[in-house]
Amino acid sequence: MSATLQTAVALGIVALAAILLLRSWLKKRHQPGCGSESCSAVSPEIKKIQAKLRKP
Amino acid sequence: MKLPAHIALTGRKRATPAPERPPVYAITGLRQKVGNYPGVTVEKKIGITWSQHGRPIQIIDLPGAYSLAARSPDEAVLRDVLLGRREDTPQPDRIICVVDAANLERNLYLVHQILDLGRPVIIALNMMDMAAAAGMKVAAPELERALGVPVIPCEAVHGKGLVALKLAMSRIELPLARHRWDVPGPIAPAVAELQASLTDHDARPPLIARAEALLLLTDFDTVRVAGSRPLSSRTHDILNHWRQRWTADAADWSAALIRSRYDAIGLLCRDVVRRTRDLGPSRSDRIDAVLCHSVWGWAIFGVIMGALFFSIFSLAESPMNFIDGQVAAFGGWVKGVMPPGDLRDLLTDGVIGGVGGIVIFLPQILILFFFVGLLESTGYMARAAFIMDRPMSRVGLNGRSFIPLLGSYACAIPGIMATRTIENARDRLVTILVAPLMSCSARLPVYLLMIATLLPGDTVPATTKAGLMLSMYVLGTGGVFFFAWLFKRTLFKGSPQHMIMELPPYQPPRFQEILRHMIERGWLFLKNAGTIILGISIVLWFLTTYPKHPHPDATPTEQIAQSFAGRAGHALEPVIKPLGFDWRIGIGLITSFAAREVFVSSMGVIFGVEGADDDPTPLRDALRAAHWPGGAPLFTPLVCLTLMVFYVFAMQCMSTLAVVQRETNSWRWPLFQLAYMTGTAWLVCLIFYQAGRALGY
Repeated sequence: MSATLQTAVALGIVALAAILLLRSWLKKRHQPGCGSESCSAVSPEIKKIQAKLRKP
Repeated sequence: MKLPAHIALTGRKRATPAPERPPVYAITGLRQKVGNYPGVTVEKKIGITWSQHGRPIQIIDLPGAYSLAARSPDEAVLRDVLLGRREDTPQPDRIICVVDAANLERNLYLVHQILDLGRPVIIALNMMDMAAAAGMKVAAPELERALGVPVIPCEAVHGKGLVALKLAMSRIELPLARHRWDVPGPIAPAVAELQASLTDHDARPPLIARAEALLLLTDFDTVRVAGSRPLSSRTHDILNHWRQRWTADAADWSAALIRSRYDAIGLLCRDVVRRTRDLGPSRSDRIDAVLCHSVWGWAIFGVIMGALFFSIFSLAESPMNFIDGQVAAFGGWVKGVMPPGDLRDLLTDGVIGGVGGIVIFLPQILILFFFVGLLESTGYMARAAFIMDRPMSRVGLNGRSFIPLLGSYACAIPGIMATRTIENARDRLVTILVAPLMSCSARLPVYLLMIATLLPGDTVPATTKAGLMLSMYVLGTGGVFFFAWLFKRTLFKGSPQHMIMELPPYQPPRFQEILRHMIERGWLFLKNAGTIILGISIVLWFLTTYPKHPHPDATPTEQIAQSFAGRAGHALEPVIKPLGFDWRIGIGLITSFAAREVFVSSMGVIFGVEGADDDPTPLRDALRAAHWPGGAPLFTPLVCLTLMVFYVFAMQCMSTLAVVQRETNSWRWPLFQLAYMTGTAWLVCLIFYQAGRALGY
């Protein structure tokens, strides 16, 4: 793999990571604390149930 | 009659893992954490189960309480859901009351009030084995006959009675209660007048209106929470009228009402509970005589905490070395198979360096949660709260505040949410403000990295490392006491409230539950490392690599200084240099505001980028090799200690600030918290570092 291609792929991965971080931050803003998926205070099972209940 | 769609689950409040709850969770699939403090059920939790007929049933897990007379926000939520006052929660079709058979009389007060509501009720008579061990035989059929509602004997730990409970939940029709008790005569007109007003002006069904009238006359609706419908002004006027009239008459009819209910419960228990032998001190009482002793209790508490931290270091050393070696070998392998370039650097320095630096702490996280689970499961954690009640009262708080603080050792977020059980608003706010000072598990990787850098290799005994770690926890706890004392004497003056806590009986540890909780925590840690920390590490790699230095033969340090992150670190350096930190540590301080453990991955990325290309040395060695431009070592023992002290006090967690904002409904308190904690961290570190320098360290 050439150095130029490596740079292009690396920058693509960086952009993807930045987008995912931004998305996760925006989600957290809407559901701060244990409403968010990143909170470790509530078990994943409970979160699955809560997500299911949120669906109309 | 239609099948039930909403079932509320409630029981008594206790400071324990509420051993009566697990069987119900087993039925509902609500496998939530069971802890030794009331905070775990402070949230309203909802789950779905299926009836015998395959229909979905929504289970609302309500906070525990001894009565419907609310003294705290979580009890107010319970009261309001059951009375149909909540706008966000439907009034339950059925109510399952989980009752401790070993303390039947005390537990029946809440049941008795719920029966007044005229809703179908199922009583889960749990801990029958505990009652038998205490020399009591509780006749469930007689209780069922007396109350007219299904009474299902259960044994939580052994999973007995679950099928019967689920069948009762699935029944299409349930009989209504037929309990009788005499409301004192002089109160009857007040009850009737309030009942009529609640029916006419607050749209309550007649039976619920009567139950609410009885409750209002004993509680006067002192605690209210947001989201509940307020009472009409007419009802308030009637309530105030009776209150004034009774005050003028110097008659305590509220107490008379409570007494008459207890009399009815006492009569009921006389027929239902039989003593099979004389009651002496139980096994738990005998153990408590030692573990809660005013001297021995503290000594044992200290030994247990010391053993916990010693185990974290001694047991985790081998698996940590193994993971460390594998991460380094993997990084070396990637470097070997890929040609030089940005992608290779991203994988080795960003991904492997950042995530690998965090993952090696997994064994210690697992060991910590195993022991915490062990203490909770056996019932010792509630004793720890009891022991801490006295020192807490010295600073103006009580043991009830310590329970959320204990939870904050794992994570400040559930700890802060658990403060909803604190009745006094001032005490609750003080507890929220100081809770993040408790050393949470996110600080653990930072402490461990600094200890590994400060005390390298096998030459230093595990006891020394454990002692240093323990001292950080003690420092954080000391900070909690100091600031609680300070706030209670300045911002939140008021007399301390007394704590009444029911200690659970000691039980053998439930290893299955502990292991499940431990694995769950470990998985969340790995998930966090594989998502947020991975993302931050990748972005940080970019920020430490770009823009590139104009000279291709620039040293790694010159390159990182030229980068975006380097420039941000340099901008921060004048503020942190008096603490002994350079701009590279400054980058870690900035990024770890997202989460404290990100500091470790940031160091992994920065010192990975800075390190030689073919040098897969562990992070702690890379830190030990780091130096100032003049050649002086950067991570001296004093700097490592100062950095640990900084993380003890600094408010480095965005999520916690968001939760404080939500819990206090204001940005004022999280901003105040950010200012006082980070200001304290800077000041303490300045004094600590400069004093250390002056003493020649």
